[in-house]
Amino acid sequence: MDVLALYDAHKNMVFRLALSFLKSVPDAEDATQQVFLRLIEYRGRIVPGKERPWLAAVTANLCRDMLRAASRRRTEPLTEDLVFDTPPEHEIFQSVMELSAGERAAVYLYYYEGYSTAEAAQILGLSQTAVTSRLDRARQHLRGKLEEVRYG
Amino acid sequence: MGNEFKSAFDQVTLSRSADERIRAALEAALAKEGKVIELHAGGEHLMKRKTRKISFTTLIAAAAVLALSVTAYAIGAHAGFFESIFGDSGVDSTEAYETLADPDKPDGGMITVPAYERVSVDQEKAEELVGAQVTDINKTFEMEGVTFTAESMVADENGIGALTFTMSCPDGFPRMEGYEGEMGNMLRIDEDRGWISSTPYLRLSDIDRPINDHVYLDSAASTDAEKHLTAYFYSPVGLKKGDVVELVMTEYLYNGKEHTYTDPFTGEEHTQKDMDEIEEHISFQVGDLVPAVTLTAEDGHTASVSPMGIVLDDWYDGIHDLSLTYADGSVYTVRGQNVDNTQFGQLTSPNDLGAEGVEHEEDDDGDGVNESIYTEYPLDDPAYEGMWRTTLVFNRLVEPENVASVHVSGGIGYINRGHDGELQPDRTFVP
Repeated sequence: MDVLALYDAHKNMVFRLALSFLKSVPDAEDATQQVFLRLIEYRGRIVPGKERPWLAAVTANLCRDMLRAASRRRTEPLTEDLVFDTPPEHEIFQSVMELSAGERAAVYLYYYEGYSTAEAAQILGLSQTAVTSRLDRARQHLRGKLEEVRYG
Repeated sequence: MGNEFKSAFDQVTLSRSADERIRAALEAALAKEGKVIELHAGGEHLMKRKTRKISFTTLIAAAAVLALSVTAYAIGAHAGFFESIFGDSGVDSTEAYETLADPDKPDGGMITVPAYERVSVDQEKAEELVGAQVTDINKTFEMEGVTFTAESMVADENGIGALTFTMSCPDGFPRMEGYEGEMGNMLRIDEDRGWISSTPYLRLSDIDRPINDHVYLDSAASTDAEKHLTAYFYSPVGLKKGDVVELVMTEYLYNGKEHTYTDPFTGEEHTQKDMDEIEEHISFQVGDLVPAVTLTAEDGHTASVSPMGIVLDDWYDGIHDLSLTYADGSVYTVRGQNVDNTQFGQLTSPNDLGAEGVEHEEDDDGDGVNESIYTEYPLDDPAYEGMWRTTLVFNRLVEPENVASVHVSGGIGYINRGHDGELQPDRTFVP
């Protein structure tokens, strides 16, 4: 198992998922590094071909720990540095960032990564019902905003 | 809209500087496996963590445990229950083994997969230690043609417990309809250890709160038509006699109606079946609790040991080694570099215990994370002393009164903003 090759293949997935949870670029970078260090430690226990969902699950667990971690102070979202090609893309991203941490992660895994609700549930350590419920809530929250972006 | 959503996230990538920094850290870690790794030291977002130390002593200690002989025992009223939760007939042991980390390369590096060892249960000792606290339930419900039967349970005063139950279906188990038309199985079995992650689950009735559990399949006793299962659980808020625990199964059934909606992410129209949530559960009361023994370290921290598990106060991250040494000198290696003899471990935060930090917002989706606003629990704030704790559920019966000492070592990394750093606690607890 070539760790660096896996890093190149999956680093942005891990970073985006971490950002979905943490809403902070520096924290998401920290999480990304931490996740791949865990890959080094546990790579012998990962079923070949299952590295991507394993990394996603570890990212989700780590981010939850970080959100709950000792000594963590309130932080404001740190995603302003991200640059997008078009204003609608920026607005869409910011709208997603306004969701709760759990909803953001579910949206990212389901809509961007293309995981089913069952797979997302396994990654997030939730029931399929909980994931479906989060997606429903996210759709409701964003329906108006995204329509606005869509039609100007 | 779908393209814009995708393209927006396509543009969210690691910066070049972060990429280079992480790559350098990984290369350093690969070059120095087993040694100290210093993670990214940039700015205030500092996190440190250590890799596990490689130790062969844990394997030797584990071998000593395996060598313990078991005397003849009398078959008691709870023999089958004790065999399921403590014994070695239902869940297979796996020896530690080395495997090539990277089979595609000639120098891919060998790594060790930790051993998991179940041992025989001393039935007389089990009856003596926990027999009086076993609650026989024997209640059933049926869902989708599957009969669920809660059999027996036992719990200790730390909130650690075990429940045995069966799921039977003479004609074979149906695949159950999931939400949005997806098919889901009732049982998703981890092939390594027979751990099942999915429904059914346990819930504390009074506060409508799920209890953390890992459900194991007794492969020896199970057949295609009947599954024998053991749920090891831990309630962070504790358990007391008279608490009502529920074994819950939830199913979503199509009610014959449909509705259409526009997906805001893709702009596509979808037709979705309306599903009714159907829940069945068995309720049972917690009986007398199995007592635990408190051991104390020189620094005043405590370890609470029961026949079923251990709770370490003030411990909130990785455990490298944890072992129990008995009065006769024998050792139970609970967790080590090459051994993991637990059913599961659980970190409990102040949040789990209802504490409020400096800022607090409701956890509206029940995942233990306060949404939007982070909660602060300073390490050095006496108000939270002992609230960060780690619980490990044993995979065998332990006689607490016979434990001469508990040794635990590990690495605790914590995060920044005036508190950044790392701790390397190494504690020995004695009665």
